[in-house]
Amino acid sequence: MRQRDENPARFHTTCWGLVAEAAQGDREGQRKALGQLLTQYLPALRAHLIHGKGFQPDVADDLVQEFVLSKILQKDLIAQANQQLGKFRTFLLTALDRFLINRARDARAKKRCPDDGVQQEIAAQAECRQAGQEPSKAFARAWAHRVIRAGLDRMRLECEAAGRPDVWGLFECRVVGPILEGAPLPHYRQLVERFKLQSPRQAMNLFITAKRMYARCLRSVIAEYAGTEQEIQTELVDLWNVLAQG
Amino acid sequence: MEDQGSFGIAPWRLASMLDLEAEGKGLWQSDELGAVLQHQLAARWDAALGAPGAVSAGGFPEPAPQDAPIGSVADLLSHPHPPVEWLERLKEFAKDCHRNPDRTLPDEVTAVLYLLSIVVARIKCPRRISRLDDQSLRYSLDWALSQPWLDATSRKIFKEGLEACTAEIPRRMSAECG
Repeated sequence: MRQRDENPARFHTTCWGLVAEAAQGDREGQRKALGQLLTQYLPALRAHLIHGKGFQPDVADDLVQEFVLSKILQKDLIAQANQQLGKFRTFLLTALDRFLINRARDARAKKRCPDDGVQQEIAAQAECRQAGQEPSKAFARAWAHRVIRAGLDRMRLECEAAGRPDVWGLFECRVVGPILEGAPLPHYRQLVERFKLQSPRQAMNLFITAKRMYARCLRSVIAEYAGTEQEIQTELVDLWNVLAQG
Repeated sequence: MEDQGSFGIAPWRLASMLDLEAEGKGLWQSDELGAVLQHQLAARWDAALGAPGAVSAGGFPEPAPQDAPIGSVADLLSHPHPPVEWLERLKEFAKDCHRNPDRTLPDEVTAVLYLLSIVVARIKCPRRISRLDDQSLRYSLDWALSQPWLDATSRKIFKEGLEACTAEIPRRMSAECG
């Protein structure tokens, strides 16, 4: 199985709680909160630049880094975020897009002088969006991927803590591996052998326990940035829609 | 070509990880149905059908002392004198599975178990434990016999059931005419 690069603790504080801490906390609190926020959102911003805007990965890395330095750190962007105005990730994405437009404008102004190439690419990419792809789709996909991974990590930890490696094991090899890792689907016979299942009823009960546990973990991850039950459901539907539409 | 999305995973595959409502339905693939049926037939009776002790607590008659004990569904079906109460319990289990939203067993497997219980009751007891008329039963047995994953023992039982249904038509016709 692929080595996971996500830390399940990343979602342990609510997103808006982190935003408030990053904007108004003491210096140490601000630093920590900002660190956690960036860890949560930067991969999705990077995905937006690469898959939504068509930048080369190294250029996307440079842009994200510059965005963090010039907008988030120097201009205190986080302090302007307002929960009443919508999702934090939409706020962040809008800020990134504006940043790109400004960069493109700068690049056009600099066309008279020699350029490093990156500026040219920014100008070109910002001016022509990729046909048929919503600019935020890659971002939402990356976010969905991250949320799913966090839910799975949480489930795995819960199973370990509860002494139920069978619940995680069955879910991992029958669902997670084939869907997320491209692993072959293990045959029912292999599951019976590996998990010493006494009957199909036990197999199904184990699977349903796993699925319910995963659903609860996934919802708890989303609950940390979507406040109410209705917002959690809306977020699930939004993420599902963006993925199901391909 | 399949869109592999941002992480080498097709978005629709990722979407399935957000589909939290679908429970057990569709979990097992068609090429696994035979293995699921075999497992169900071979499993200990209590593990396969319900809570431990459910059968004896229900006042079910035990098989005659000279007969082999019934430890599994397969034992029941191959038993020379299967207690009809056990077959009725198997039939009810299959019906419950079909009604259960969690789908303990695939529908195809519950259908086969249901048919096995009523055919064995009819041939060996001999009792009708279902209100299925012969025409419907023959239709169902034809369906079951057409399943490629069906095991040889169940296939043999269904063929005997089909013969029993067919043999009864002339008997009934002569009784009605006579």
